[in-house]
Amino acid sequence: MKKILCGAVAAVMAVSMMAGCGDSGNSSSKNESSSGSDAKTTSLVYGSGADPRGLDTALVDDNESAKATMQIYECLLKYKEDSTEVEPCLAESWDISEDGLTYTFKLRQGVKFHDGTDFNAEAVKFNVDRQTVNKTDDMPYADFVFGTVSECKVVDDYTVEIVLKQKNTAFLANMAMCFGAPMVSPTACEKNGGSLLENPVGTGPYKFVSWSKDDRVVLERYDDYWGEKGKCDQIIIKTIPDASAKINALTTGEVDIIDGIDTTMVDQLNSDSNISVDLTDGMNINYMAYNTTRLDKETRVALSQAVNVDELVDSLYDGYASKATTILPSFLPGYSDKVTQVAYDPDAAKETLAGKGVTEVKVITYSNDRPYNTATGKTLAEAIIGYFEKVGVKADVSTFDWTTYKDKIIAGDYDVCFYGWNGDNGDPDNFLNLLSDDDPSMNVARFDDEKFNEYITTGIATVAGEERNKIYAEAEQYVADEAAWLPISHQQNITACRTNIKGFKYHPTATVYLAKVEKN
Amino acid sequence: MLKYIVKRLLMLIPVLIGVSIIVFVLLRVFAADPAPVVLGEHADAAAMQSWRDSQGLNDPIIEQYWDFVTGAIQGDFGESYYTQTPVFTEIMSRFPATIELAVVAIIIASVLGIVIGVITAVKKNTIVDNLGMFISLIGISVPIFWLGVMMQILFGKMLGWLPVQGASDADVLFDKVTGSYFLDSLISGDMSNFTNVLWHMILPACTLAFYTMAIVSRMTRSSMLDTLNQDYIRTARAKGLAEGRVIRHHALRNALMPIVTVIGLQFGSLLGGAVLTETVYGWPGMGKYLVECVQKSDFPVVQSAVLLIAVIFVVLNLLVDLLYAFLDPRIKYGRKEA
Repeated sequence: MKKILCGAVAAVMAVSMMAGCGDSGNSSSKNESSSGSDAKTTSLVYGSGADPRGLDTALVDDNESAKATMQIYECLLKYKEDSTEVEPCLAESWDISEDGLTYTFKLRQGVKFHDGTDFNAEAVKFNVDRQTVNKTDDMPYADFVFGTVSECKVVDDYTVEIVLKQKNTAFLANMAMCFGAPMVSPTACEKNGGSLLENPVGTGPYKFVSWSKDDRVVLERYDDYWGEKGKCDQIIIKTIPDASAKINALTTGEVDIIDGIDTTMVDQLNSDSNISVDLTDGMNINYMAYNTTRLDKETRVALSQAVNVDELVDSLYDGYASKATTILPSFLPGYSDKVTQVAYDPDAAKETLAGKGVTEVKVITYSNDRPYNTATGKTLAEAIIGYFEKVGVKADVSTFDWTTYKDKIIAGDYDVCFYGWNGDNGDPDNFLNLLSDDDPSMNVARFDDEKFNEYITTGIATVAGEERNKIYAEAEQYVADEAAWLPISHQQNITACRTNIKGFKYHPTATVYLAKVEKN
Repeated sequence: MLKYIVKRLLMLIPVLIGVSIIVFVLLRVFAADPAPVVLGEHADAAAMQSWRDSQGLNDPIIEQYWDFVTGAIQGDFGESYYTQTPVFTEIMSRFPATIELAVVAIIIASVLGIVIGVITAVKKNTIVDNLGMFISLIGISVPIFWLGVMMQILFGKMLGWLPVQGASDADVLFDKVTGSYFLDSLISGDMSNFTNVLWHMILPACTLAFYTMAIVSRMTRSSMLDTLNQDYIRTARAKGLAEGRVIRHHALRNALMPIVTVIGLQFGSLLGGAVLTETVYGWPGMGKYLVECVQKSDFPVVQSAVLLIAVIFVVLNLLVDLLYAFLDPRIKYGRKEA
């Protein structure tokens, strides 16, 4: 036994020594740690809550993937830094035809994909066709982004024309989205059998180096990038699923930036002088919906009057959610601070409900937390029930796990339910059309109002600008008066970075663009 | 002996059939529909139906099972619904990391557990015994995720001695050849990579080892106490053998059988993936991945990974049984008793 053990130890030592004698500059080793190398490579390490689903933006729908892909790929357009308004990116300019159906994009010249191939009109056509005429079932955002496209035509090498089947002003916002819209290299895509899930090739400021599953994605600066080059030499997206561990990794300096921070951790982070915490408004809405097929307008208004939304939001979300005065978050086009919701007036509510003989309502809710409601649907429902009881209405509450809850929503046996929405493209239609959708799993209030539907139809067909914004502001006020929903809150995004990190901003679309981030 | 091994390996077949049927049926009866997870919230009913058709999920369950089994026999375990990557690739990109963590943890746990167990048995009812058993009681009682976070705070944040995340520093890069961080860092030829990985291994391996060490030490103590009361120990002592030799050669060797069984079973469960440790330390292993796949109803991954874990358990049990023969020369497999 001793001999075996001694042999084993000797073998391990021999292997270690042989390895140690090897050339440290061996091509297989790419170690350029900022701490251990003369090259002074700056590596920005971003702590992410889950591993990416994949690195092909046509085939994924998770924000963890977008953290890597939005450094690798670019879209025709991009969002402004602090809002969801769009500005040129791979397209330098665009024209919209009189009938609003043809979008002509003038493309930036001299842009190359990371594989050295040219970005041009043919590449755009390949990307659009890939998710329209050549679409497969596994493209989660193809219909959302390109569903209204009828054709994509190459006009010349750097001009492309996209023809829509119907007017869709949100199409421009779609062209800046992190899913579906980013332009992949046609050559690389064809070479890899139509999928770039593990071999992404784009035109962005960073190019792909490696992906170690459940560990990290490594990107390096693309030196031939057409625009302002990335500040850091490397970006590493590190997978850290545990919330506490993510905080520990930030405080020990193993990662530079983290997001998705639990509200209970913020005080701990604020007490660390090496860390700065940032709160930004989220592109979401947390709301209570009335089943408009079962409750009349007067009852809905009275139930809304019973709820003190200010107090509710303060007590449930510890200051990490803002009270929703409208369905649209404030940074979206179409937001108006003049919209008024039903005001808190328990006395009036009591009187109306007693007069109408409403003494009980059937409430359903979800048991878990959601990105737009970190307090959980159950806690939110319990708080609301308290308000209902104060005005003499008893609630028969049923709580379900999320999957079952969605089935219950479709079944429709409820008076009041709780739901929410995370925006996709930053267009007001993306929020307000929920109330005109035929699908009861989207339109949980089952609101079916001709006038409101007209607002939505007109809004989507109107060119972006003041006139369009006015339509959505009016639609908001209309639905507020009808009391189909009671908007409750907009959850904030909480991020934190070490104080030697400069220039980091968490975009309202829950995407990060890291090229301008510096590490000192 | 060979006949016995072949017989035991053949027994793997009904075990695998049983396990695969159970996991296959459970997934299809109780797991959520994978279509919304895969296609996203924007997918309409027609798209989901078409996807289910393409994956064969609308076929009769027996037909689905048959497709899975025939594929598996040919080495084709299908593709992950969620990532569209071959299941074999997905599992193999994580399994080596699980193996290395489990091996290091089981070595630490076995060595410490046996040492503590022997000492506490020999020093029965003394302060040393009480201290040893107190440590093992803590090991059994403390939730592993809590221990992990506390060790991170103590050794990572407060003392700054050890890294708290991952299998190596985020900016330490080397080619993945075998999938094992230890081996690949050695293959890279740069010892600083190897020491970096070793450094990262300490906290997760110790956290993982703590519970197993507690079980092994309690089992060792109880087994040693039994053995130390045997007549042949008294005889050995009466013959004037040194106490150390009595304990090591006469008592411990005879006490090892139940200890080896426990270590074998614990090793099996560690190889199945240490979910909590992997999650807390961001260790890129199988356990965490398997749980995520269950949550995402990624059927091909779950059923293949469960089969792999079943094979591991059966093979480890076989190895433990074979070790018995090594530890106790009286045991001979494959021979009829006289």
